[in-house]
Amino acid sequence: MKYGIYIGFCLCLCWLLGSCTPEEYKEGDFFYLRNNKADMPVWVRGNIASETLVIYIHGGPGGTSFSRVGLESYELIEDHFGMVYWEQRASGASQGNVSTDELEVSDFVEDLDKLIDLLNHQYNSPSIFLMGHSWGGGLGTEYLLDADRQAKVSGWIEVDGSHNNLLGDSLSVMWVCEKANDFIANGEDIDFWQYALDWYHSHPAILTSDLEHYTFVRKAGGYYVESANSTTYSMDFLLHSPGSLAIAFNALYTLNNVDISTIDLSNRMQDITLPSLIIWGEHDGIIPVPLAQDAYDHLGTPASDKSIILFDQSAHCPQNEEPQKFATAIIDFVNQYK
Amino acid sequence: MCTHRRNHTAVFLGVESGQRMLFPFGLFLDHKLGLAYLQSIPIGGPTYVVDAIGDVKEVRNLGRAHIMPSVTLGLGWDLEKHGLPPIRLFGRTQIFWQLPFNTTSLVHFGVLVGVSWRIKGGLN
Repeated sequence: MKYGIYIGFCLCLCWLLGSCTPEEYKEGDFFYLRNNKADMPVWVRGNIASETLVIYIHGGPGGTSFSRVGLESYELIEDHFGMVYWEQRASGASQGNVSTDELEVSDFVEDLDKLIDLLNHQYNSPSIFLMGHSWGGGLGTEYLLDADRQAKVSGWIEVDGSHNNLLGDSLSVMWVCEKANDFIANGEDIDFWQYALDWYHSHPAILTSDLEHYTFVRKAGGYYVESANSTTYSMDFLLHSPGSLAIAFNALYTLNNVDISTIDLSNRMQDITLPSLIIWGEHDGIIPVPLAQDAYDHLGTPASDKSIILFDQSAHCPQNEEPQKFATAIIDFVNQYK
Repeated sequence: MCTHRRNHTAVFLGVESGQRMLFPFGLFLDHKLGLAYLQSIPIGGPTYVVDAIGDVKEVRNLGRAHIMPSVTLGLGWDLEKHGLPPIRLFGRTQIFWQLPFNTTSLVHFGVLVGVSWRIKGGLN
């Protein structure tokens, strides 16, 4: 009995010390971009030898790219090209001491420009594609409005992006209200959906920090058609990946301090003439699908070099919900224009 | 010191004060409040800065200085009560704050498992 305690204790210690990091979290190149009080991790994975890099600009503001590592769609893309997972300032696993004054859209654009310069330096001027999802779609669009910056990029991919939040938010509210009325008519969660309708009545203009709106969209299926397709944060991810609890902290901090609700870039997008691919989930409730046509119509890219692909089984995250179709679309586009 | 692969290594030095409740059969419970200096250093790869004309330079990243308040709760077993050497096994949970982090504070959770040896004549 005396020695049983010792043995049990030692076994517990061995278990704790022996739990090892999965291989996928050790792969690829890993480094930091330091700019204006932020240390932003950059993780480059996949087929770097292809001399083609796809920079994934994550959503939010305040989201994370690291939670998408290992996603089937991105792993398929990694077989062909290098994927760059960049944690934006005060987002994801980024570290530093960024104040609210240093969270302007122009700060994010400057970071992205420096990231591209850094990648050109590290990988001998590869062909670079930008893939902006959600808020990343707005950030990528803003970045490309400048001709000098646009010249550094071979192609633009917008995935359910927020290039026009004024329009997007109003369409999103309409989308939720329509769903709410359907739920009420069908006798589903009547009190909840009536509360949602009342909330919108008392909040005619929504802000980026209005978490209620996101809750209503999520419950109505506007992020994922099947909730099982959503990105989750497992203990494995929290303990072994480069991600950490800072992901949750940064999400709240940045979401509460970066208001993107007034972004409207549609009328300036004629300055973007890059080959462009617009990908959208037909059931997106947070940035509804009419925004896909809005992007297509306003881009200055010749019609022969821009296209829309809609995903009929997806809401806001087609990379999660239709991974093979998503990967095929990206691979074909990048192969055509790299 | 604690480390998180491809995230950061934290080195901290501080003081703790608290209370311990000992039971005759060997169990003990304790709680502590602490205050420390913490240096958090990003790890996993080099750090680069890019200047206004796009030139890239690798820099030494010594991390950032932080204040680290902490609260610790624990329990353990005093083997000396069972006629064994003066060894104590303990497990503790700790919550600590790293501040400033983006001008506010970042909370961390820790688990400590260990063995202590009470030197002869030492305090409980």
